[in-house]
This record gives sequence, structure tokens and C-alpha cells, in this order.
Amino acid sequence: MFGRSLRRLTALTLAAAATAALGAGCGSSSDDDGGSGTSAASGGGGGDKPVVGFINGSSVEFNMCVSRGLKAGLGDAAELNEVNSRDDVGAEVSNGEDLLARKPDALVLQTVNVQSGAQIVDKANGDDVPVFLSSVDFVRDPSKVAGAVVFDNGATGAKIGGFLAEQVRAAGGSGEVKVGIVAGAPGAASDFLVRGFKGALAAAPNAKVVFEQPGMWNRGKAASVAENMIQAQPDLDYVLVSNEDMAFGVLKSLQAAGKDGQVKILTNGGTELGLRAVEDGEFLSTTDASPFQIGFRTGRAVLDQLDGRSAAEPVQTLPVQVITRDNAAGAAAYCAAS
Amino acid sequence: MSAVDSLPAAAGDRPRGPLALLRRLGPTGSHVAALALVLVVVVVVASLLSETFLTTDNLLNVTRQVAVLGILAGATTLLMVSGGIDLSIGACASLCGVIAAKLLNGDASATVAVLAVVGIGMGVGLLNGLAIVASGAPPLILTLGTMSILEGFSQATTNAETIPVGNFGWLGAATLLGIPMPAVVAGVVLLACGLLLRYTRLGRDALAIGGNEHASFVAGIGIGRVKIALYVIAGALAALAGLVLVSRVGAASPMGGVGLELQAVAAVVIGGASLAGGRGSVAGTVLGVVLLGVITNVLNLLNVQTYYQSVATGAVIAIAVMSGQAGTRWRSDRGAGH
Repeated sequence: MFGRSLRRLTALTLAAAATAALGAGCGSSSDDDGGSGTSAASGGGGGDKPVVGFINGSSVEFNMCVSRGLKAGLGDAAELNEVNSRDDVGAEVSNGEDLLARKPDALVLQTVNVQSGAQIVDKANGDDVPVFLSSVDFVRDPSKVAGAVVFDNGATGAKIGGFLAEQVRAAGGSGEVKVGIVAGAPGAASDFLVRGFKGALAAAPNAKVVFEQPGMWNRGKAASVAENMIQAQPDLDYVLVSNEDMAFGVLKSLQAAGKDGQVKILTNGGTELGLRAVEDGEFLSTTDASPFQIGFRTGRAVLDQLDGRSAAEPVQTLPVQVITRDNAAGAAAYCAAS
Repeated sequence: MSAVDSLPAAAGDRPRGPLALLRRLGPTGSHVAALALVLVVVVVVASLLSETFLTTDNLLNVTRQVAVLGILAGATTLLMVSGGIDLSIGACASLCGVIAAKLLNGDASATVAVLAVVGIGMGVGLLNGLAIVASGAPPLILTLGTMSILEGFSQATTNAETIPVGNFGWLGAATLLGIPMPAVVAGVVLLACGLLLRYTRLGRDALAIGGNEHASFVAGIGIGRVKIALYVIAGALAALAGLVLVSRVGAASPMGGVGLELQAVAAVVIGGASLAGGRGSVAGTVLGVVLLGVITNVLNLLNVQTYYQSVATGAVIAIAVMSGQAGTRWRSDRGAGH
């Protein structure tokens, strides 16, 4: 039923594909700008340089920019051993075990989940490996971590909410101002952002959140949610979208429905495209939450620790500002040093 | 309806009235009829709960939102009736979208980009088909591996960043006679899949292989060729889905199609296909896709909290599958009993 020649063809094709895949893998391993995989020499092959393990939580743009910032922050002073948990809690725990088995001089954790992250912190403490947290500080006992460089998502949400409340107040009038929310995935950072936003928005009593659904950090999903939102709330005035990628999906839906002039988008991020959309008037506002800076400052904190210098403040909270047309030129770069 | 289900009743043994109708429907038809009943109930309840639901704009939104899933579900139907499955179609859609974006942002015309990525999708399908046929490996596991490979390539190609695409909105944003173009494309694809299953030798062979592979071999069906052809078609449709997704949201995300493969499997199974092969219909798949889309849409319109959306969606899926099975059993107990 399946001729010998076809089997031979199959074997040749699979061999060619495997060779190509290996070639691609080899090619990418020399890419020092690389966004993924192990970024430097593997497994303790760092000679005299200290070895820093980095457990990255995901492969999305934000995480890859944290990785780039970390590499830039460490420079040539340390070897970086990076693994990626790909949003998998189980993989994160395994990655922690694997990296700690290599006895790194320090460990940086961009966690997927608070529980699995706590396990890794405990294990690193047991192995006397200093741990640094990036983006999220989830450890209640500060003595367990050597340092953390984080965003305060609640404070960021409050800044956006405060900005909108100010807009509403400045516009005057006592009519109801309708606000929609397209959030990220529930149960994570987006919840803090939304909670902070709602709290600050209370300063404008006539502003009311009339729609709130998750876009799951996915542009296509966010576009679909926005289509439904417009149907359910045709008189909507503003929409908060938890990140810029989803905000572009929401914008597409608003444009398709002819509502892009009516519904103003507030979002969070600060990518080059997001800033351009603010300057072009497609977004009313965004923020400059730079993951590169998170990684960069974490790298510097690690080097300080390895050099025996203790940080004045083990937990650094990066300031985030609301970016509008007026101050877009001064926004922190999303994925670069400046 | 599948060819297997449409075998004529023996002469002289033809019941009249509802029983005759049931017999003509066959087991898959009975499942589809029961599922249609569930969909009608959902639509009626939705229209009572939301004034917006039955508006033309909203129904067109639903068709736009389920289009990509519909294309992938069409591909999955063809594979599942033959006893196969392809978990890599979501990742293939992402990769094809990314490659299309790269081509379109270069100097390639839309025609070249479309032809190129459909060719790439067919190539991926060919590799899947050859590997499955030559090795005899379970397609579930083998295509899980392919999925991981394709996701890795997508992220490596883009550095995990979303790539904006301009001037490619016609496939995702345009309309034809007022119907969204993605829905038109999905409709044509599903119609073609239905015709292929019912009226072509390839479709009949696929059903026969899914029903009993050994008997099909004895009957002289070229099992390897049929399976490979089906995986090639699935790859082409995955590429098409990726193009529609890119056009709809105006950007290519390296993870944009991830997760859609499981939704496609869910839609096909809801539609009455057997995971073991040999049974299934495109009509059932269409109902499964529409049911999933309508549930998501109406829960968004009603602004139901995310956690309860999961509960409601799961409950309706369970009811739909059980109703379909009940329809099949009722038919075999009363309509086809001898």
C-alpha cells in the first residue's frame, strides 16, 4: 500500500528537514541579539566569569525584551544561562531545578506563577544561590530574595484611571461617560492594572465601567471582544485595553465599525508602534512600562551583588508614566537602552 | 452528511413518516439534527436576554469571529473522519501568517505572498503526512511535535514580536454583498470540504479508512496516498486561516493561531465526528463552530464575568455533545431498529 520509493522519498525528506532544523538551531545559537533559548555559553562553561541563571516565563515580546535588557545589564561581566518556561508552571519548576543543579552564582526569575516561583526561591535559598525577581515581586519575606526590579501594575492602572478621570472632569457635563475594559488574562498582572484603574476612575463619579471582558493578551481575541463590546454598548466613550498589542486589535474593530472617532483608547505598554499610535491620535494614551529597563536594572543589581555591593533598596519599583501626544517624545524605550 | 451515512435503505423495508426521515438522516444526521435543536434553543435564549443579539450587525460579527475557526475546523473534519488529527494547524497558521507579513512588508505582492504561504502550508502538511504514513506514529503525538517545531520557528523568525501588516485588509476587513470576507472564505472552504467528503473518491476513501483501515486496504484503497493528501489539504487550509487572521487584525503574531487547533477539534466533535474516525460531517462541524461562536458572543454581549463564561461555555458544550449522542441513540433505537 505504500511503495518503497515513497518510503525512500519520505526518509530523504525527513532527513533534509532534520538537517535544516539543526542548521537553523546552530545558526541561531550564535545570534547574540537572540530573543530566545540559551543566550550565552551553556552549563557552567563560563571560565572565570560568574554564571547567572535566568528563568524566563514566556516567549512573548515583553519577556524577550526583559531578556535583552538583562543581557545588556550584565554585559560581558557574567555568563547568562537562560531557559524558558513557555507559560508552563510545571516547566518553570523543572527549569529551576535544572539551573540550580548547575550551581549558578545568581538566579534571575521572571515567574509564570507565584506558587511555582515561590518553590524555586525556596530551593535557591536552600542551595545558597542569591535570587533576583524581575517584573513581579511576589515574595512576602524580603530576606528570601537578594533583589527585585518590578512594576507596580496597580499603581500604573491608577495612573491611567486618574488620567481618564481628569479628562472626564475637564470635559465637564454631568451625563454618563461609558467606559469599556478589554483586559488581559484573568488572575494575573492585568487584574491589578484594572483594579487600580477602576479605583482611580471613581474620582469622576459620572464615569461608569459598563463592559469588561478579557482579550487574553491576544490581538485577534481582543478584536472579537471589541466587536461584541460595540454591539452591546454602542454609546461607549472610552476603552481601557491592558496592552498595546490587544489595543491594535480593538482599534481595528472600532475602525471597521466606524467608531474610532467616538471611542478613545487608553492602553499600557510603550512600544514604538504604540507611541506612534498615540502621536497619530489612534490611542488617547499609553504608558512607558519598559521591560528592557526591568531586565537591564536586574542585570546591574546582580552584578552589584556579585561584586559584594548591597543595594540600598533591594526592591526597585520602576516609575511608569501615562504617555499622551504631549510627552510621547520623553517615553522610555520599550526594548532598547534609550 | 457523510457518504457512509447516506447509504440507501434496503428496498421493501422503507418505513414512512418520521421514521423514514430518521433512517434517511443516519447516525451523523441524527446527531446534527439534535445539535441544530440545541443551537436553536441557545439562539432563542440569547435573543431573549440580549436585544442586540439578533441584529444584523451582530450576526455578521459572529460570522466574522468564527471564520478562522471554521476554516481550521473544516480541515480537522477531513482528517478526523479518516482517523487522523493535526494539532499543528494552529501553529502552522501562525507561521504562515508571520511569513506572509514578512513577504508583504518586503516587496512581494499579495498574490505572491498568498501563493507562497499556501505552498508552505502544503509543505508542512506533506511532511506531517509522510512522517505519519511512513513511521506509523500516532498522528496526535507526531503533530504535537510539529506544533512545537512550528511555534519555535515562528518565534525565532519574529523574535517573538508582532509584525504589523499594511495593505492586506481585503481578506479580513472587506465584505462581499454585505457578508464579511472571512465568513465568505470560511463558507467556501466548508462547502468544498462537504462536497469533497460526499462526492469525491478522496472523501469516500477517507471515511472508509476512518471506519476500518484494514478493510480499506484489502479493498484496494491507497491508504498512504489518501492520508498524505488529507494532511496536505489541512496544511493549505491552515495557511489560509493564517492569512485571514493576519488580514483581520492587521498584524502577524507568532502565537496568533495557538490554541485554535483544540477549538477546532472541539467544534468537530461537537458536530458529531468520532475521535476514532469513520463518522462525521461538515454540516455538524458548521453547527459546532457556530455554537461556539454564538456562546462566546452572547456571553460578551451580556458582559458575563470571565469565570462564569467558562462555566456556561463548558455546560453548553456538554449539553450539545450529549444531545447529539442522544439523537443518535434515539434514531438507532426507534428509527433503524429491526
